[in-house]
Amino acid sequence: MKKIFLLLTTCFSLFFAFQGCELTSEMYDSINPTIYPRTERDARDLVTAAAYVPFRNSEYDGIFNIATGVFLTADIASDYGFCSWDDGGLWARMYFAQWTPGDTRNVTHGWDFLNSISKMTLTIDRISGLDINEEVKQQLIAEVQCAQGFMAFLIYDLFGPLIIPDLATLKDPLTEKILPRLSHEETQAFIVNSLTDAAQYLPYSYKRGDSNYGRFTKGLCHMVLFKFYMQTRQWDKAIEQGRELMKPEYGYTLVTDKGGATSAYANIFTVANEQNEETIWSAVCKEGYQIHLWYPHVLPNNCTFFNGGWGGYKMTWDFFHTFEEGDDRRETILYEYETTSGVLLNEENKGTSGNSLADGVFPLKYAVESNVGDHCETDWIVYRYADALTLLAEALVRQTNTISSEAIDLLNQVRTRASLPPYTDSDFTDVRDFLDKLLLERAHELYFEGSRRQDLIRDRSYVDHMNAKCKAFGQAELVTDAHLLFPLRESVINEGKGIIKQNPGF
Amino acid sequence: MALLSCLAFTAEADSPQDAVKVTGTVTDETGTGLIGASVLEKGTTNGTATDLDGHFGITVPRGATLVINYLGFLPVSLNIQAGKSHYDVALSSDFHSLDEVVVVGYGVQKKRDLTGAVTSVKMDDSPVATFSTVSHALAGKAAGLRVTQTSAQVGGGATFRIRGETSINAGNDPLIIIDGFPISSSSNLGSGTRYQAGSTDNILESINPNDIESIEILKDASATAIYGSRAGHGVIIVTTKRGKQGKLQVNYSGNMSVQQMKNGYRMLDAQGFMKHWNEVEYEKYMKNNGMDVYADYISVNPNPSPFVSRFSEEQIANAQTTDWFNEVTRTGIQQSHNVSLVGGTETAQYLASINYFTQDGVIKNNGMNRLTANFNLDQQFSKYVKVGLSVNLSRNQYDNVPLGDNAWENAGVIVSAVMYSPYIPVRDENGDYSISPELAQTPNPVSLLEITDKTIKDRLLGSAYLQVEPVKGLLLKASLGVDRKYAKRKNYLPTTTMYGLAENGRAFITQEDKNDYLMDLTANYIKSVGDHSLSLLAGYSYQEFNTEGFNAGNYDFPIDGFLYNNLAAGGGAKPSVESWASKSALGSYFGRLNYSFKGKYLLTATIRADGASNFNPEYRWGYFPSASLGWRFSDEEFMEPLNGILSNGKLRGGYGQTGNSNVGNRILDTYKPGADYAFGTTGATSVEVNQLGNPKLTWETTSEFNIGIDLGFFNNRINASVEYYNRIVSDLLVTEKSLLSYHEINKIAANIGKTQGGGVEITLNTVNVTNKRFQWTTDLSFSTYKDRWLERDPEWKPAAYQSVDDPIRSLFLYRSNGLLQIGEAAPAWQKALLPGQIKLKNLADIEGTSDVLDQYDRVLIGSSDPEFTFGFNNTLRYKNFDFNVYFYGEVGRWRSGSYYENWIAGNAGNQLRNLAIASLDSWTHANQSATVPSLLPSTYKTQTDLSDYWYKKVSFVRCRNITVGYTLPLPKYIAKQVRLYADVNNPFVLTNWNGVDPETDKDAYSYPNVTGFSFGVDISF
Repeated sequence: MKKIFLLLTTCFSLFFAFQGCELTSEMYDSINPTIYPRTERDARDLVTAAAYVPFRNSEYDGIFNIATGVFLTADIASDYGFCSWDDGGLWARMYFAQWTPGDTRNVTHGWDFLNSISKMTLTIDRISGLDINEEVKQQLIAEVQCAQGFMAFLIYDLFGPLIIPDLATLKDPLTEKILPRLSHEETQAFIVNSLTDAAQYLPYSYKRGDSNYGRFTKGLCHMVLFKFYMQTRQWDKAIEQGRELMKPEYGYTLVTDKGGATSAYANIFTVANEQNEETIWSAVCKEGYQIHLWYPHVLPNNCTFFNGGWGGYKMTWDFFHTFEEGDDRRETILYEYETTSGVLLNEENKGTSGNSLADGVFPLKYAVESNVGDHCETDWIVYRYADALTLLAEALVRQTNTISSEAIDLLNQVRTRASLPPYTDSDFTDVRDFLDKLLLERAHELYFEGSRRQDLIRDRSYVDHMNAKCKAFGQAELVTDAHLLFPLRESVINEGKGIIKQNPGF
Repeated sequence: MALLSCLAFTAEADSPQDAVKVTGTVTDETGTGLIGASVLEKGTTNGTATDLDGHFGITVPRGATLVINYLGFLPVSLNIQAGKSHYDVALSSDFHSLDEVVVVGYGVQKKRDLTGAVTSVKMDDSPVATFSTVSHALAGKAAGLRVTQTSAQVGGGATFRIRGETSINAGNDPLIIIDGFPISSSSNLGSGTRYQAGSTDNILESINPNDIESIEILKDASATAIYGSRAGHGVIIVTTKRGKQGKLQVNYSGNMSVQQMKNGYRMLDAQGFMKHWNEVEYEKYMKNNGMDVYADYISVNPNPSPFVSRFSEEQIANAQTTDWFNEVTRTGIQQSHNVSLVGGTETAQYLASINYFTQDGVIKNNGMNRLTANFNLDQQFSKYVKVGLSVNLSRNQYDNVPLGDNAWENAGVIVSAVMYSPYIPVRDENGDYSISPELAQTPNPVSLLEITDKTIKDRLLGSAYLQVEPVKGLLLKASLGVDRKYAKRKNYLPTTTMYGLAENGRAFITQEDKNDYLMDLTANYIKSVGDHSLSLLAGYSYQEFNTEGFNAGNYDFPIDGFLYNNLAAGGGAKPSVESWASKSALGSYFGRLNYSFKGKYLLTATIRADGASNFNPEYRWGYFPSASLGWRFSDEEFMEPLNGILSNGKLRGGYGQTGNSNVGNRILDTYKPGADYAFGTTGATSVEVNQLGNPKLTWETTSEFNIGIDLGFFNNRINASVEYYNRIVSDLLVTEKSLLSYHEINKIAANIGKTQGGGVEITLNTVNVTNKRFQWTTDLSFSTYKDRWLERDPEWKPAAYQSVDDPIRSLFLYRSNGLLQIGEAAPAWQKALLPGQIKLKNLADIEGTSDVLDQYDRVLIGSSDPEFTFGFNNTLRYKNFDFNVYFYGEVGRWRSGSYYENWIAGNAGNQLRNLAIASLDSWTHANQSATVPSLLPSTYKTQTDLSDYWYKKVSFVRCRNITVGYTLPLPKYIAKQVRLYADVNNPFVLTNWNGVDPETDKDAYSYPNVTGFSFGVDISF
């Protein structure tokens, strides 16, 4: 009996001993917000995530990525863009401007970055109270503000008015507050204010070799403002921005030496000439951190100088024919090559399939170098000075409705850099002719840099150009003014419960 | 109707008062001696038990009656006749003994006393050795359990669903318990490359199918509530064999199978491919120039350039077909060997088993092997104390091949093999893997076999218990256990593959260690007084879950030869390295009361309180009660006249609550490192908020009502059970409730809304024929369920086509309206439609959208759940032969088109990939009566893909296996039993699905299912 008692006691003491078993959860690989952020490093890390990561062009991530990014999408949806892939007809709907409200991927990619603006707003709040060097803090905040204006502009360009919640709303995500899209004026004010505020505290530009190269600058703020005023046809304000960028403090000039490249133009896009003085802003690429996939997306699989191309993006032959002989920029396009089986492909013998010249020419631009396989480490140039100069030329002419010699000179700076003869007064029959030539010049200069769609929309000739493209390809001509914008995702309309309005025509 | 074997007795006239010594042998139907059968003189305590060979000897008065009992067999009464002193008794199996015990939570219960919905799965007739994992043998075996094999690959995964899928986001997996240990999935490690290895079984893969004694499926809340917070989707209890009293018994079973791909992909050959694509391009040419039938749709080009065929007549004539599928497949081979030793004395019993299983899959290089060792020991120390130990060790090794269904640049072996151009050779003139000019970003399928990708999974499931019985009827038990799951994957992408070359080789090693610890303390008390019997259980359980993992990778290797064995040799600029760790715990108190009055009126009540560490303290504890009642009406006196017909009748009903807490740690806001960036020439790290915590997160609760009836007829030769249930899941847990999309983090874990599920399950077991030479039994299971939404989150944002009470797995589709005919104008909402393309209906016009196909035009067509599922098993024995055939299937599941319907030119766009033969029947200007849409891709593919054009209700019946066995009539001194068998696994499927396999096909590119032919032997000594 004693034995039994002992056993019983043992069992019950076991029973109670284990009642102290702790009910705790741990996530050892996450950071608890009660101890973070505190230091300058913390602030920098948060700003990198909020202000820069959304602007990546890294594999399939970031608003500039090669597969679904906004520049690529805008170029495919312009008069020269083409893609040899299918993906459920998505590409065809892009290059013939036939997108529908159910489409996603490239069609909705830009809008999906809307909440990055919210992250930026919250990040400013998170770092404002930190006890760190005030100057550093102010600049970090300005970088985030610049990111807000830049992002808002990119989304506005593709989708129209945004939804911008205030800080209080963002800090209370569990209280639902459906917000309507802002008006055009409100969205525009947000873009202008963010960029103007940011410009006050940012350095003009970073010079080659600066360890901060790639951070946002006053120059970028003004470039985005410049583009914004152009798209909203506020020529006078645009001219101000253009002139601002020409100030010596920024140090912007065109690349005119060809370095190791085939031409000065080609030299803009080389590794050796990264951080050149023509670049206003580029996404800094570095293996292991940020690398882009331009080569595999563009190059064919049967060229001798690159392994593993996918033969996707093309420039149409029709557009390629608009390049003049002797234009250096034409030579950065792959329009003739010998295949790995020794066949020479060119306009006479285009070959078949996407890995040939059948659908168009390869808009290579970035010479093949510095790549680890698919990966390209060459910094991805987003905005550059040649764009600014030609925009200014356009603004001046549109503003005054006369062709000034300054405008011609600005255009010629870019044109002669490409080894073409300069235009003279007598080359232009009228303002319209000047604009046509200028827009074509810009298209040649900035092909596949995300400008063409904007140029045509600003010129109010997008619908005509796209219908002409459809006709040339044996498609029904169905492009309308609705296609000046992309539709919002249906899920966004649904969450709006009638408060968030779809773009007209969708 | 007598089920007993007839025994002839000769009479002998002796005085009944004299005592006689009687001897005999008790055997089963096959003549094998039964050890430990009880032999009792009726009405007395005079009795004995049979020895190891089934012999007995007893002294009884003349004229006495002996009652012979053995669990699982019908009792036999024996009148001792004068003049006969030796009796050979062959017992007949009791087909469905009500005294059979069933494993329930924290104990066992007699079947007759059960008040909940519990189904036992019989594995006896299944050729378990022919399956790579026991999961594959369970489909259709229990009404209410739906097992779907998710992939036909080697060791392929399976999903278990008990009574539908009423959880939205927190998982619908049942709780699986192996020998009292609630187990969780082992790791599913990534490859570190773009390729996935498909889906392998992660839950029962470590179990040796031969070790399984029984599998119980606990379905309703009254059966499962004892497991509380994790039992919302039922419980599967796997019990492995343990030692038995008796002489050492050695069993060996071996099996060898050959596997053949059952159904290939029906794709075009080289000539077909080239001719067909020429047709496609000609059709496109006609369209682009507005020729012929296209003149009404496209502006006519007055000066078309001449058409040039992509493939010339000469190329077509000389083309050699490469059957890519043939290049990457082979005949599969599988073998298994199992040895077990069982034995024990009255105080100590042991079992040891070892099993080796190996399989080479039908896709080349895809293989697995498994080694398991199982040992258990039960030792009675004294009258009061018993201890036991179980150790289950397993090692599963897999040779993975890239099997994901990603396409294009991420294509794996199967995707690439079905897409690749059939007219190009495997290798080019230089001996390198050729690359399709049409599919530049897709690697050569054969080249992908060069990838080395191995997974090792080790599992140790061990437990020990101490059991004390201080007073009669009171059993105290403490058990401690560990489930250690270690997994490691090693992967190398060599330069002979397209993407290996792009990076000069990429190596990756990843490993994860998961350790779950369990402590169970239980007290069980049983007492019977008069007509009342009572059983009480109380207990405490604590389980802790730990995970930690690590991986490292590099690229740019000087040679391929290192594989993953010298990561430092890689010249990668930033080799990848990661680690992670987490911990959580669950503490529980539970209790159960079983009460029965006169054995006829039954009551079970349970309660469990669970505290989960992943909820905040004020939301942490969940209480899960249940109660059920049973009435054995066949035991009522007024039923006695019917007892000859109705041998068993029980009505039962219950109500209870269970839970689901499966959302992980989501109550806190957290920061984590984000994506990288670079400034200047250096990399920069980033940190961001990655989770918005919901501090109010709590259990999802399932409230379930169940009513069931069990009927047995003709001495239980026919047994039927019918269950009806209705459950409501409230506080539905979702990991990603959408917040407004403008928020930084726009998803949050939350409790939202309610769903409802209901269904009927029928089980029927019959003994159709039984006599000494021939027996035939049949088992049938049938289940049906319907799941729907009951209540939505107040912040729910429905799409235009959604309603509050939609089925959970709703299909919302556009309505198709046939193909556009020649001369017919394109609808206003499909202005770019061409003849032969699918017309869609514009259903609900709201202002401004009448010319747009949008969400207003989609309607609910049904649910993608099957209408019902079933299993049908037949076992026949004739003399020494046995024969088993098993079918299962499902009926009426809405599915979209198979690969055969989908892979047509009209869906392929302008990239030349191989197409299904069905594409040849596409609509063209010359084939205007076709029902397969036009060769030309529709502009409205986004919408037609979401249309009902290809949808249909798919049903199938699969013959799982046909097995024939023969037991050799060998003398006992050679072996106790030797059985040889031959089995055909998956010999045929009857279905209206025209894809590869109606069960294992996901959307496309599925691993082909196999038919296996095996030969095996079971020997016991």
